[in-house]
Amino acid sequence: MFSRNRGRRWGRLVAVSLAITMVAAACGGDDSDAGGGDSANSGDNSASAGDDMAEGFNWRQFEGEQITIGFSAHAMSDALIEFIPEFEELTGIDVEYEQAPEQDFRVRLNTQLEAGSGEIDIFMTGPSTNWEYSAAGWIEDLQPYIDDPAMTSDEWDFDDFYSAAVDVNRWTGEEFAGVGSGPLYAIPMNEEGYALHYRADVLADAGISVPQTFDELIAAAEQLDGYEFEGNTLDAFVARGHEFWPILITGYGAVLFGYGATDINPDGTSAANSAEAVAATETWAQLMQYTPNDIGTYGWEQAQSHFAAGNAIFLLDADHMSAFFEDPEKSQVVGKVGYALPPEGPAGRASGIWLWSLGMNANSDAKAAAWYFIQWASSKDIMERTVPFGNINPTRATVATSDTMNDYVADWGDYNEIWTEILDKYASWRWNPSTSFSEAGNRWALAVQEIYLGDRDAQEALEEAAADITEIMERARSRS
Amino acid sequence: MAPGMLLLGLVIWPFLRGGYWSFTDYKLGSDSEKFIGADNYVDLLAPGEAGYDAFWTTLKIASLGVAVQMCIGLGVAMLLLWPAWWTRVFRVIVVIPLLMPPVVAAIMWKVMMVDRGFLNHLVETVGLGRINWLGDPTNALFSIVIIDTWIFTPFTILIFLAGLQSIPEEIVEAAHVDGASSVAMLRNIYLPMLRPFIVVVVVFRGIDSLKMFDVVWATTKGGPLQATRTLHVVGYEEGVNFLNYGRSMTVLLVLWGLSYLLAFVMLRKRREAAVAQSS
Repeated sequence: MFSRNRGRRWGRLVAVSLAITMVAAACGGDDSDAGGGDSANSGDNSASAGDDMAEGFNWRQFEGEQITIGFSAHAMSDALIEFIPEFEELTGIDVEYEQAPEQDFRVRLNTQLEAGSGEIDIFMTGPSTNWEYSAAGWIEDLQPYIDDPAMTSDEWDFDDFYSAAVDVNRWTGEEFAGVGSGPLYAIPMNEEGYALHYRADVLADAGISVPQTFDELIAAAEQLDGYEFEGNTLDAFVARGHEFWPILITGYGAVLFGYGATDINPDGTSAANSAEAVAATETWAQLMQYTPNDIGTYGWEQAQSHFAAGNAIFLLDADHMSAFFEDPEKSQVVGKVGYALPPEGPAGRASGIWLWSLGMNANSDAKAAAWYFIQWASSKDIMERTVPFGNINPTRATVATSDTMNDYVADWGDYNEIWTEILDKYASWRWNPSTSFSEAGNRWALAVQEIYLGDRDAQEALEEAAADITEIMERARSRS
Repeated sequence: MAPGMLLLGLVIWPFLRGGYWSFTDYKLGSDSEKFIGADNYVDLLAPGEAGYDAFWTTLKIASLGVAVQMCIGLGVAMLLLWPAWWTRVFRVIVVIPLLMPPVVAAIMWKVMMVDRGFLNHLVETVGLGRINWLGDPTNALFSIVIIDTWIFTPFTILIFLAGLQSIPEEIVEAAHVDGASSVAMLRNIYLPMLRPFIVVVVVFRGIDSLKMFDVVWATTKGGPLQATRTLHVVGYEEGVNFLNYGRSMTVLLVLWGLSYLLAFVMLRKRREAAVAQSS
């Protein structure tokens, strides 16, 4: 017979067990809890992957191994997730994956990598995060795998990648130095350059030609700000206006480097207060007078939405926003947008670059199998098949000029010529890598906002920023 | 005893660890952390530094928010005691903002506050010029308070409603009979008898407002020109974006200190008042 005491003890035991199980379940996490695996797309992309893969190269070398991939929500990951069963069939490697919105993905990945476990084998990465990971010893150098003929098939063709896209993923490891050389930490899967988007219909109506220099752009903006067109009052210009480092790569970056500015002086101090940087920022401040009133909080989403809603005439930001502008379900300006090179400054035309790449965990216990996945995902065949999912711009020359890409952008006017020219001639990463890049970058961006929004004197604001940034750099260098 | 100690340990240990980090230059991913004494505190909290500005911004937003929410909360609660059938309906409606996730509410308001958005449409219809709700540094702070008020005033309304209903009817009737004015009743009956409820509102809303993050991050991310950058936003950027865990913990400890101080002072006053009443 159960005595009351025994009943209470059992009750307590059950309660504690339940609590422990719940905590363990919450901590353990499910590998595919966000991934799902149900694909909504039809299977017409399931061409026989095996045929296009090189014969003679042993794809089944690591049969039976298991890898886990961390994806950030993006058209690229949507596409690769769809194709994963083909990879599993080709190689016999079992693939698990997780997908999460970008900020959540990043926070979770940091925790996983810091724990030093091999839980995640492959992850999406790019500039700035590459540097944090490599300084911490969390990301694997992929060059040895590329150079090993037993690990990489001849068909893969490393030289097919645009060098600008590859170089961004190299770093020697020296704080605030060494961009573009050293170990290769990730394989680029898509890239963006920065173009001048414009309303072709409005320019035609006003009789204005496409601006080729920043002076021409300012003149056009001054003339067209507040232009009445089809019942709407238009803002002449829109771009990112917030006080965070992405502006250094995007619209503001195109102006900054069009004036020939650099990020760091030869003596290692910040070049934020150089004559070129001050001149460029003053030009930017002029342009920003022709933007909507609440521009101070604009990130890329607001800039994109503002332009797509038909409220602005010029936009200086990511070239592949074209996909949004040409989508009838999202955009009011389908077929009305023109694409042009970033305007010329005293030092010529310039564009930043941003890309998503695939990297490998240095603590992975299935590195070779992980390399197989990265190689497969970045192969000509698979990268080309990700294009219709919206994974643009491709980082391979053959894919950029392929029929698939041409068909995808067929109705977008000059788009294909423009973005390939930008990537070929003008786009590059111009910021010296560091684990403290975002901190230093934010300080520069704050000065820019103080100047265009707070009416501060450009020389004064950038002097202060340069001093603060030099301090941040010293802190970073002393730690390494 | 043992489970209690275990729980205490689980709570205290991360706190102490984080506190220790604030005295080091710990950055996630670096293999060495150096003890640097109070350098982080001086660096971040000296006048003119990021933490110093954030400290005052946090206080401004919190004190303005709590004051407004208390006044509106008490006013609406009194209205909801009106003996009519429709006050019951309003009691349900008034709670709805509280049920929405704050981030969703913030994004909803952000869309309405856009230059060409719904709020400016209303403002222009009334004949006024457009307001730069979130893009102007001064306005942005007030806009954040507006959004926070919209979401959380229902909480204060509910607390004050309970408080008002706990006041004995005879006292109110006696005051009416004596011919007391509304202001006199407010000063001499309602406010004194609502004191414990006011303490609850100030402590809960005060701490919540001090550590507000989601509303700020979803609307302005601390801008423009860092006008809405609270201590929690600085802590988040330093920790999550820059991986400077040491510096992040510095501002977050200050934030904890503020919250603790608020709770301590308010509860101390409450205890003193209770002692005074019983003697």
